[in-house]
Amino acid sequence: MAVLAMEGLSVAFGDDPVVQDLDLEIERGETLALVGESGSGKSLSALAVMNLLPRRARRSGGRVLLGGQNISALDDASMRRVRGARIGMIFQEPMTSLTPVLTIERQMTEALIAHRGVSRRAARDRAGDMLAKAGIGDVGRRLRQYPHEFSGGMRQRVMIAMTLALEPELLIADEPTTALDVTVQAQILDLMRDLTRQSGTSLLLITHDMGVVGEMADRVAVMRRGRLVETGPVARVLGAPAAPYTRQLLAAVPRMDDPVRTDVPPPASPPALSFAAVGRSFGARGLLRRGPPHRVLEDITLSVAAGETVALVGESGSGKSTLGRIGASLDLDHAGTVRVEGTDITGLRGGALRRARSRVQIVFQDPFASLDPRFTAVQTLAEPLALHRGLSGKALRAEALRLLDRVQLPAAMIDRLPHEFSGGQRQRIAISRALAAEPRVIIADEPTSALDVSVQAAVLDLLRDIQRDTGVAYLFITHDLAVVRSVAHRVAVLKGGRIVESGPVETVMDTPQSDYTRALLAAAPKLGAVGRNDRGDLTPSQMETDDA
Amino acid sequence: MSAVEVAPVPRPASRPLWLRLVRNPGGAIGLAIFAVLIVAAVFAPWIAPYSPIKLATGRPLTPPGAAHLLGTDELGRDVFSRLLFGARLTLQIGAIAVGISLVAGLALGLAAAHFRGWTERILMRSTDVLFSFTETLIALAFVAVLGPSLTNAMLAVGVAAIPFYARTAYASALSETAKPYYEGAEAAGAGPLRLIFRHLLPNVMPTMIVVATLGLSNAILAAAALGFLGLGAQPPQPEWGYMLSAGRDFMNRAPWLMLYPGLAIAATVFAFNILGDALREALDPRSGGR
Repeated sequence: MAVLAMEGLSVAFGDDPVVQDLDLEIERGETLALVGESGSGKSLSALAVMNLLPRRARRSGGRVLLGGQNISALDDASMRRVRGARIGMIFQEPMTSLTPVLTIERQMTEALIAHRGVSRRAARDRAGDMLAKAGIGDVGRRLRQYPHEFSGGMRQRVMIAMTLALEPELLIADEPTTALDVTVQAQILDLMRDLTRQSGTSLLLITHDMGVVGEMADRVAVMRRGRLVETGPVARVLGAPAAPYTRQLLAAVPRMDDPVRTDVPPPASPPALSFAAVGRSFGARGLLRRGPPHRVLEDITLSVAAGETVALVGESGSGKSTLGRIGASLDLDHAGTVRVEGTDITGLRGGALRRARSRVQIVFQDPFASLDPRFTAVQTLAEPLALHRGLSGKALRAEALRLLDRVQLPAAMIDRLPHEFSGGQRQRIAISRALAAEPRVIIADEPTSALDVSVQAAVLDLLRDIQRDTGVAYLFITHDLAVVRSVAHRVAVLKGGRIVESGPVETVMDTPQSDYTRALLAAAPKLGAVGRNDRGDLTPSQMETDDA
Repeated sequence: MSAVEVAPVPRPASRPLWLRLVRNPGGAIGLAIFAVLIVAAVFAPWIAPYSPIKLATGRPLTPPGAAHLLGTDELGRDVFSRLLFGARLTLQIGAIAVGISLVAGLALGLAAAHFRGWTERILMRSTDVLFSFTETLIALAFVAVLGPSLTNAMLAVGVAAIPFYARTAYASALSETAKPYYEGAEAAGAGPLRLIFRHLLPNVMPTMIVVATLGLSNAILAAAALGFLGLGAQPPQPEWGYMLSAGRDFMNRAPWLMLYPGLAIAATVFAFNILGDALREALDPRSGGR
């Protein structure tokens, strides 16, 4: 019998159906990946299983069976005995899913005592065991620590240990590694795979990342707009997708084996943007205390030619965004020199600084925060058009329309406010704002990381088209190595504020010289990885005997 | 694919602010009391049966009854008429005091959040110093220097609350400056004035409107307190706080002299408080009001 079965599960916001008629089963020890883009209803389905739907949503039909028992009919008290004890759940955001005011020991033992009725001592031993299994050393000391003393990856390890300590039949993991760096993600995925295999726990893995699906899942279910589009063994769905939507989705995923860019940027001197010996440190400088400065960037020398895209790759804390802000003259407190088309712009202030800024524009990651919520599209565009190019009145509006057209937004949207646009549309407006100043360089700081893959593909295409037409240079900041391949001519890998390796994309990706680049490449989840862990063709029951 | 993505998102129907307010029980009650107050203040000369300052409209200390709805005070003045005219003073005090603290607080808070560095340190440390005294104490000191009068009381109450408004505006503005749209505007060539007035101010205003509404009740209470201490409105002005204080001497013989001004103050403060809470909800985009 299936561990979990959703039968005709439907969820609605008021009268608005968001999940319709979902039929899914998960066998014992099986990993089922539920994939879809934002708004596909994948997270709501999981919350409906746990009976934890947000207040505005309700289960409008169908039922959920856990080991044959209809749990969607349970009252709150009985449901609480199911949550945690029989179905564990791990969320995306490791920074906020642990209570900051309690020690790890309190948080881990509380559920054990409540659900399993064990003594405090037994609970502590069990918690220690699980932490050790989750790869956390010095367990005795770690148990007494608070969440803020753990890194993001370590917190996710704690969450996994905590959830699996109760030996649930089913673990639901909602984008468990999306907020983590790629090397940490690889470790966490390995850990989840090992621990669920050891205990025979079934895993419902919700993700938008096809690479993660390829590495983790036995079976995959693809959702779109609240409906199931396709289910099947992972090798079959990823290798020979039946539904057109699945094919479309897979085609949009940047892959590590994508061909690299072959167009050669026109030879240009001087470079559009160049950094020479740039450094940045943040001092713990207060009125009364002067701590040692924290070096975020050290001795960065890098240049981007006109018409060229240079990718800046690194994990969180590597200093890549800081370098981007320095390039855009938004961070002026740095060492070294920044040149735009050969002119030194370091140290400029006032009007000269504003003129320099017009030549280097920036596009940010978060499409929801990068537009003033009270400015319509035309007002957003009017700012650079009026301030940098002195346009006004009809000429300004005409130019704004031309820019919207350039980023493929209909003219009718010109008077809309940001909240009336989708994420991808907002990012297009942000790009058109950057273009409005007619810059020589655009610094794109993770411009597609917050977007769905199909939207990401369209935005990347747009950026390439604009470069072809205008010869603008891009400094493309990203953590996603697969995107680098299709976007950039050259790549620089940043670690701890230093460039550890740089060169043409093909050279760096195919014959990496530094250990760190190799580790990054190895950790990136790959679509082609199906069967890498020798589970692609195994049924769950076979797997168990293999493990025993 | 891009065709799908570019398909227009239906424009969410946005209900006007006042409608969202009226649908909230707190907002409806608050608005209703506020409306009564406005009517009383505007039409006081026509509604009031007697002059607020005319002596001996009836026998002194007449209990509430047919001739004098809320009774008369020790000089035979009609309490109901005095309360109606007092509403004018109360609204005036609230508006002017809050106006002073709002404008000054916004200027300090936004400047500190935008310029950071030394500007921020000097401005915010000075507000911290003022913060360490209670508002009433600052207002008292102010009136002590300028001399007791209603105008000075309004000024004092307004100035005393500046640190609070400055701190709130600063905190709200600081979180806005940290958002990428602010740097985006900076990259688009916006100078300090434009950044502060076009980007910061409109995004900080919703918070400050709520703070100001809640602050109105504080200002009215503080002015009433000054009036009660004899440092605000001077006789024969029918200011509620002063009426309360004058009525204290006759608390046992004529409790209505304290009861009705007290109720008027309480109702007004209550109205602005729940109105402020309702505004906060109505202005929050996450409340689903959009």
